Amino acid sequence: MATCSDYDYDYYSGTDSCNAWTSWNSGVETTTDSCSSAWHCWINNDTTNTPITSSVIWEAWCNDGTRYEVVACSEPVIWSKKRASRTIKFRNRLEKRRDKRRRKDLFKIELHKRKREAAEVKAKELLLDLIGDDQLEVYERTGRLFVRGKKNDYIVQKKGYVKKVGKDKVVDLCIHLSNKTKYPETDNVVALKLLIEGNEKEFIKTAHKVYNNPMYNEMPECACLQ
Amino acid sequence: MGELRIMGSKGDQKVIWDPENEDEVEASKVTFKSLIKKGFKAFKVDKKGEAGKEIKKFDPNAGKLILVPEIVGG
Repeated sequence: MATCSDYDYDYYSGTDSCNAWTSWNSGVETTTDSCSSAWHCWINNDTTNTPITSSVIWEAWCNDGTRYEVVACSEPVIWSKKRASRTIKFRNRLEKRRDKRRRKDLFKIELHKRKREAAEVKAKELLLDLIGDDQLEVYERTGRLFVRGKKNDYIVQKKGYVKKVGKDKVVDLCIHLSNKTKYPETDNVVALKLLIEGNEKEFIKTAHKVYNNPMYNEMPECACLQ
Repeated sequence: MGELRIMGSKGDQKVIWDPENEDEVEASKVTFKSLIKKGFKAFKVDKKGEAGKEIKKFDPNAGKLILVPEIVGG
């Protein structure tokens, strides 16, 4: 029995749609008068309730049964073959374009990452000139550099606050290169080391005090700590 | 030979000059001055592990100079 739902989900193309019509028209298939007005028109063999131009499928079957097809089961929309093909091509093109953009974005991210890594290597070479091989190895392992100022000692960390080691307490200081994320992390460490050694007064003036911590029971491992 | 290391986003950039070559010294001096104007700080460094010294004026005989961008409190 052919019902309206069959019309929705069956896939008709080319002469198949014509066969369906022939089959319904010749009475091979049994039909029921329980669906849409278009269906009602077809089984009663008149167009009084459905104008011939109102339904694409109706128009197609009346004029040329081979011109229209249902393009997808999930979309009960009837397209011309030419239009359907254009839509599919358009979708494919869109998908290709999206893929290309996605690949381009991934490439950009990878390139940025590599540039950052190369910059970090250069920054470590600069630090190497200042502290030597052995201490650089400790720095690479711990991410900490011990710097001796005229008044205080400091632990400059690759990530996190600078620790000012006083007589009986450790103070966290927030100080870094302006626009810090633009520069390699180790360049930030080198810059702070140079400022502490070269102008400790200005370093203290610029830094923001964040926390007062109790004194270390044992100094953490860091480069240049003899 | 004098050496200027300028910190940047791609790592440091090197500028080398011969203290006896006036043109090279002049070009390095111009670079130095323009960066100091932008807020960079210059530090003179010598041997490994030795403390750096901040300098305000270009010295062609300083040896190695490191120029660092502006430092701010967080």
